[in-house]
Amino acid sequence: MSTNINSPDDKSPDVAPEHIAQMLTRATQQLDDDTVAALHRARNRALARQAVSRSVFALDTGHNMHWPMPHTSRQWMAAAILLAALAGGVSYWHHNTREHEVSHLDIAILTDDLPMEIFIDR
Amino acid sequence: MERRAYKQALYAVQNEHAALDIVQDAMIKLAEKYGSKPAAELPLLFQRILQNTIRDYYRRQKVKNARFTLFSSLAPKNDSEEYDPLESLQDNENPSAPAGPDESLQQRQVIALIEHALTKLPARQREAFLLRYWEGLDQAETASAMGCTEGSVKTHCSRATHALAETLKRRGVKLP
Repeated sequence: MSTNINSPDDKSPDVAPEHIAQMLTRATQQLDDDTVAALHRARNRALARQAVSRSVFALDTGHNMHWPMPHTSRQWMAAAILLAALAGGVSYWHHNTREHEVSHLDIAILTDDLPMEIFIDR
Repeated sequence: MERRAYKQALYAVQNEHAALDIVQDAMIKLAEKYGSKPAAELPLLFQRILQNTIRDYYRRQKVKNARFTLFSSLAPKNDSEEYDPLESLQDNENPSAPAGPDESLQQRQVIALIEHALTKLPARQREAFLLRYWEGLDQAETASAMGCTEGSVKTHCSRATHALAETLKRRGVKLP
């Protein structure tokens, strides 16, 4: 965004808009002390809210309840990596357990030592 | 930033307390929702939020009072007399004395005249003029902040500039 005052798109009669803008800028220097102080307080209040909302890794539902939801793209990425790692871990554990069960069964068949529950229809 | 925002809101709603509330709401919304955005994006985002907050104020006022007029606080007591913002400026210390330091007083008078003329502009013209020429947004950014086309921005700006120039001309004011 440019900070320069842009030239008008079409001819104005006598007054250039940038001159009016300059006068308006001067007007902001003439605000009374109470208003300036109130604006300063408002700014600080907003900055305090920003600090709070940044520190909370949560989604405010508007009912004073916070659900663990990511806010920023970084948080989303961290959550995605965490979920992927979790899914990978579960899958690996499941695979290992199954392999272990099958190997037990193989040994039982080979040694003719099948347990009773193998004949029970589960 | 907040001073200009306050003035923008004040030109729009003509009420100091409401203008302060609008600026505070806009700053809080910006901080809470867009605090993590890159700094370069914040001014335009803030302008969008500010304009929306001003529009929300209009809507609420419409519901509250159908007869609400934007310029009520500046309206003359006697309808038959035309309000002159220059007359409202006087030396409180010594009302009968001639104007003090001429340059400063003249500047204040011109500013008062411009501000009064701004409040008399249609809302969209004022909004376009302030965003484009005071906030320095380009045409596309102004259109984005106002939620309209670039063509509309051009038209609003042109009309606003002509209206303001006309007012200053009528009063014999020449800006440097």
